[in-house]
Amino acid sequence: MTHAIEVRNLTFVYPDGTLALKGVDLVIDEGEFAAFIGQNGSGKTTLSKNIAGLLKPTEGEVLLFGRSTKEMRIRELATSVGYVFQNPDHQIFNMTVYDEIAFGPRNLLLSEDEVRERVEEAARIVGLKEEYMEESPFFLPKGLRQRVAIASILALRPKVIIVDEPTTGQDWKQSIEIMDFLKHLNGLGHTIIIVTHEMEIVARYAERTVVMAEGRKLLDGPTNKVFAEAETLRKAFVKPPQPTRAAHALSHYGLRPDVLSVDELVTEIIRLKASGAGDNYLAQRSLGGR
Amino acid sequence: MGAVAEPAIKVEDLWWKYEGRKDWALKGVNLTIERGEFVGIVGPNESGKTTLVMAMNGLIPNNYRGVMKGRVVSVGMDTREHTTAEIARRVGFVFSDPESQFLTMTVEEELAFGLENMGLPVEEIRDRIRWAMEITRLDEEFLEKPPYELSGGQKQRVAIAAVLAMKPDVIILDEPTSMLDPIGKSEVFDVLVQLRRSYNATIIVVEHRLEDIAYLADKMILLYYGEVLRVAPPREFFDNIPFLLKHYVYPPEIMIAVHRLREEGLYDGPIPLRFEEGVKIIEEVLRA
Amino acid sequence: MAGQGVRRMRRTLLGYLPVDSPIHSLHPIIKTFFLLIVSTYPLLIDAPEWNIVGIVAMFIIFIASRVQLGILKFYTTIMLNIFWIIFIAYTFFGGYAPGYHIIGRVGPVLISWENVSWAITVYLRMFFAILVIIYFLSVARERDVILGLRWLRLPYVVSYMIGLAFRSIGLSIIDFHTIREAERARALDLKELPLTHKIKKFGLYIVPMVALALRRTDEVSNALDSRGFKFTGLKGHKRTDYLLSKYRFGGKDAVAVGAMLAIMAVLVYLRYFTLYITTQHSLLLKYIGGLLGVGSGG
Repeated sequence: MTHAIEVRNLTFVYPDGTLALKGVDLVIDEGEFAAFIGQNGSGKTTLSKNIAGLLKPTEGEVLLFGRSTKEMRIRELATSVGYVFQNPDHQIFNMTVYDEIAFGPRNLLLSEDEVRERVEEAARIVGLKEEYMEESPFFLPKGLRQRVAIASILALRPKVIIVDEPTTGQDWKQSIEIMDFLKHLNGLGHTIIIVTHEMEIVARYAERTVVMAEGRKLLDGPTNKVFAEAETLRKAFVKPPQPTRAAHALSHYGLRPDVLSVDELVTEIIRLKASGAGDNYLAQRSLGGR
Repeated sequence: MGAVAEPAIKVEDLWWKYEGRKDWALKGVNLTIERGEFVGIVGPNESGKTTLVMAMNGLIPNNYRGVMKGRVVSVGMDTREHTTAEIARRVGFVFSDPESQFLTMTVEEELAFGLENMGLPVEEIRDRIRWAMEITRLDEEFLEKPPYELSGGQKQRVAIAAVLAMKPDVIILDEPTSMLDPIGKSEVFDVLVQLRRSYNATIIVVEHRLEDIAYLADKMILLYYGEVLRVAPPREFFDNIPFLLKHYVYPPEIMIAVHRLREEGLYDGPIPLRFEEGVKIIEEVLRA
Repeated sequence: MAGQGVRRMRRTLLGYLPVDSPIHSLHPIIKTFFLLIVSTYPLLIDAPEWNIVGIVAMFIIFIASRVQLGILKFYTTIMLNIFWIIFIAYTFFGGYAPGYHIIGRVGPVLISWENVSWAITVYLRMFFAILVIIYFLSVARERDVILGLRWLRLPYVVSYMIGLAFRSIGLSIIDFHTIREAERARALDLKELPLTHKIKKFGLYIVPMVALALRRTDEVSNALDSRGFKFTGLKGHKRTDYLLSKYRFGGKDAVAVGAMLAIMAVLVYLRYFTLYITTQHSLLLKYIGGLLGVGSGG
């Protein structure tokens, strides 16, 4: 079976000589929802740009659905992996929202009818109302600009969508909205990768987490298993969400150390209370201690 | 703190509407911030948090067009009667995007900029730069570097130091960590702790992430679509978790967890302000 | 992040310069003086061998200042290309006047010794001049330029505006790269477009660049005011010049400027009162002319 993404021994050196990735291997399958985390300079953005074919490997290779990004043309890359940049202002080139979303499909040299169909579809998915289509994207509020940016990528119908820092600068309500929306796209069959610093968001949405540190893949696995690796995460300067840290700190009471959310933590506490495990622990300790 | 005659900031029935907008950004805000207080302002985006703090240093109404009603008096200066540059000597302002506030090409020029504008003697400028670098823990070797080559946290520390060196009575920080990665965020919060400890100024911080602000602040303000909904010390402010959630303010998850335990009848004390405090509470619940 | 090299570097206008470069021991204004004074040398000198001396001297100065020579390699390649352009321009399109020595013929075009020797002269002069400029750009920082302007007692506003221009150029370059990536992410493949489309699409960069610039202008003016900046200085305060106060114009600096001015004076004298640095007296041209079987040019 071919994987959606297969990264083989990927090394990447920037033109100024910075060695950003040192032999990374990674496989992501169709339909996954993954998060790339790690501190700035850890290589997570470089990795995601290599996957999108915006950067080409210095050594090793990236296969998209079995084909190397080095052999693929820009159009093929753009329709395989869509990349949403962090700052919407960097990716808005047209004077109306309609033209903006139509930009990609037109670059694919589709007929105007097909372009229209794709624009309408993309706008519908992101919930952009008809009334915005003739407005200038620059003067929309930031939240809407981001939606336009995502719609512009969706119009290319990429199978994989990478979103760089989807929630930076957003408040909690906006963050939840945008992430729920990405989850919705995931449900429609898109493979989703987010690059982020917000651990609560990772805990809530990503099924899989890849931790990068100093150009290497440090951890990779189901999010709850990854966050349970407190020691290794400390090395990457990654702080798991508070419920995970609390459960880890109190694991000697029998709390499962891989809880991710407040809900799970509270459920665990209640379960322990009900089973009297906490008391057992104390009983045991006082026996052993004296 | 204590009974000082004149408050640091006094906002009286402030209304503000940006030119070309239909809605008021601020709708009758009344606030008093005392000297030496550490104040956290929270609320969802587009609630007017930035507008409110810009009204405190005179950027509103002096640099923006719009309609203003009511009055803001900052360190005794009515913002309509003084220019922003005049107010700036007493009220410092740190913007959320560290990139966008740099005005020069090296850290040293950046730190000296405000002081040169104030016309201070050269020796005084040198001493103040050294002092500000100490509090913000900036290394000597940064001085010759262009600010844009630093990491996010370092950049924001330079921005804070540049304002701090002017020794303002009030320092306003508008979402100083929102553009930073976790390490940058913690660097900036360390500086805030340091500031609180060693510089007796009024500090006003607008923040989304409440994990650190909760235990630093003397007073929390919830601004919700142009209105002040709540002003209280953190203990009280965070005691009503559902109220905060309802207004799109997401408290630290440890607080939510303890709140839930309280709902379950497993705990009946106060909401913890620090993570460690919360862990201790959960531990006691497990032991009980 | 990046840049943890073994050797500590300082960013300059064109690259990086090691912190231990001897140029740092001179007052920053010297760099500006160097650009202003030494760039007149090639204008004063006609004789190619003297420009070659200048070029060699420049290489020595480059090495002595520890400029990374990668820069030179890059620009020397460009210079070689320029040589061919100049050579073709002068030899083929240099025109003809009676008395020119014809040394060859390509189709209907006559190749004259006069034109060839002018090509050599112009090219070497340009090479020298460009090296001077590259040297300046590789050792000077924006800060040096601004200090230079301040030292000349230009109003602060002027030097500040120039500084701001530097900064916005730097930011725009970063923006430009990101925008190009974003366009590729949207399937724009310039390689596969016909030229007319290419030019049209190039306009696309302008939209986001202008939008970003506009947003930044707002931010900068807010930041300026918030740091107490008034073009006229604050009421009752004169602006201090802290930066300039950090540097002292010392003996070494005086010697450097003196030497540069002295050489310039000598060159002015030689050019306007003697024939030593003219093409007529050029030994090199005579020698090449001899090889080609022509008398001296002119």
